[in-house]
Amino acid sequence: MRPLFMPRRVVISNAFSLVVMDAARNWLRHLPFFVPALGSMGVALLMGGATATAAWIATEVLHAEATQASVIHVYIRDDASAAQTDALTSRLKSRAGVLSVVFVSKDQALAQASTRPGLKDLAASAGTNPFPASLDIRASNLSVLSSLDTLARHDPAVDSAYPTSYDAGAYSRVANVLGYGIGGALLLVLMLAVVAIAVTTGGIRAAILTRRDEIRVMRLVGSRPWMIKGPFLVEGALTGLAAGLAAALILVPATIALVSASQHSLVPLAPGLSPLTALQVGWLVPAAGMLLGMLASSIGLKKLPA
Amino acid sequence: MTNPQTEPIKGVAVHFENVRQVYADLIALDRLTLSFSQGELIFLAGASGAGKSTILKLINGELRPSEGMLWVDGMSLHNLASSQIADLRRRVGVVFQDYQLLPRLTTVENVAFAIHVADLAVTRSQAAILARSQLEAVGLSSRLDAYPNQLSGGQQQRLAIARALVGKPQILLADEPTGNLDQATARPIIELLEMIASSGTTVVVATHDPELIHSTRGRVVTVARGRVESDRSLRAVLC
Repeated sequence: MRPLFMPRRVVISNAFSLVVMDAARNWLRHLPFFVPALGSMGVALLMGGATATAAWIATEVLHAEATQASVIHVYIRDDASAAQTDALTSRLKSRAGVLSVVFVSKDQALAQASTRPGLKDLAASAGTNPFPASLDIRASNLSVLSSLDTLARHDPAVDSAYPTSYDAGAYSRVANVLGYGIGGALLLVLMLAVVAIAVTTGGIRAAILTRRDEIRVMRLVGSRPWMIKGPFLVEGALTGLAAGLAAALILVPATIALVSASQHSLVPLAPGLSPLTALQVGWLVPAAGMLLGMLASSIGLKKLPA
Repeated sequence: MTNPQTEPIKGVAVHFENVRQVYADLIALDRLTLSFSQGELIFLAGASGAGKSTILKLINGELRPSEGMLWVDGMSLHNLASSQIADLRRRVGVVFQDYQLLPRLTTVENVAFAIHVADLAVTRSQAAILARSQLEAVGLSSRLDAYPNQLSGGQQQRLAIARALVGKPQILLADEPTGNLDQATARPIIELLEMIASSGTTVVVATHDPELIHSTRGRVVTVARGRVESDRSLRAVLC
């Protein structure tokens, strides 16, 4: 007696063989048709992956900017007395919208700076501690920062040369620049994706044309539509996967190199980027390639010969 | 005047009821009413463009009737859903003049492919056994691993017939099956088709070869300008 699970296993195995294995064999056999598609899709995915990485960095930058924007540092004069500093602290704490006021001494400021690449050497070469003490004020919203700046900059405890870190337009400037940059890059990627889809669709149509007799025979022996269309969808997915893997082979090492360079740089080149991000790019780009390839195939299949 | 048929007729494999088939401004079939019984061998005779191939294409679901009703193995083709066409084609085997084999598959694989298309639950080994058995039945047991381009014309046609029959269709359509074969090779093919019909399968052969028609038993339907010009048993004529 045939076990109950046999038919399902056999059906899956046969369907896999008819659709996936046949598609893989045909794809290899008709590889020359797909070379232009591989090239254009590879470039589109490379650009797309780079843009996605840049967008990730931009998001991190904006997040950091937003966090920093709600914090204002009031720099204390080196010769300010403890009483003057305490009085200013009390006045600031009493203002609406102030969540916390924390005193950071010169030594603490130096210790914080030492954790950032390059600043430690700068401090050491100066011979003295160049970092001022400060009051770090965290506000509940950006709108109160202006009044806090006005209050602090005329206080006798505050450094008159460089009173606060407040910069009214800093956040919006960064957001605008990043927004336009990412928007432009996305537009470029979209255009490349359209070109890649058009070229891949052409490749699939060429493959369909060369196999029109085979398609006719498949129909005549009663092949269901998915048996005919399935292999072409898989071939599109394989094209996208191959292009995606090629793009990932460039993107992942480049991202890892950027992470490494960022760790040894004075200015963080890629805040928030880590080897994990590189790995995420490594599988996201081929996955996007497969989807792009399947989309191109489904467009190509709309003109399947009768 | 009889009422038009509106239901499939028991014991009838194919029934055309007032079928018109129009291509642009050309009338390929003009109010055709015609029936083929189960297990019958029918030769569709007529000149090129008479409507023979249109009749076969309608039976196979490659065309839909412009007007009228058509039943094939109990299925009404005049209102058949697109999703049912694959089911219809597993009930109707087709053989062509140019064989239409898959060149990258061996003889056994060509037949096994048709088995898998019809029933995905058949294992590879079962399909191979079924395919070999069918190829033996058509006299191709010595060329199981050959590719189509390594076979003679007659052998390729036998392979096409084996593939068409492996799903045990109720109807076998053959469009000029001996068109590419010489007389000596054609004769065994016709005998094979006669044997298939005698086993209960309705066999419809389209041909414009008068020698072929005169050398065989069976019903001959002559088509001209999309109409049945004559419909008779050849044996009756000869007697």
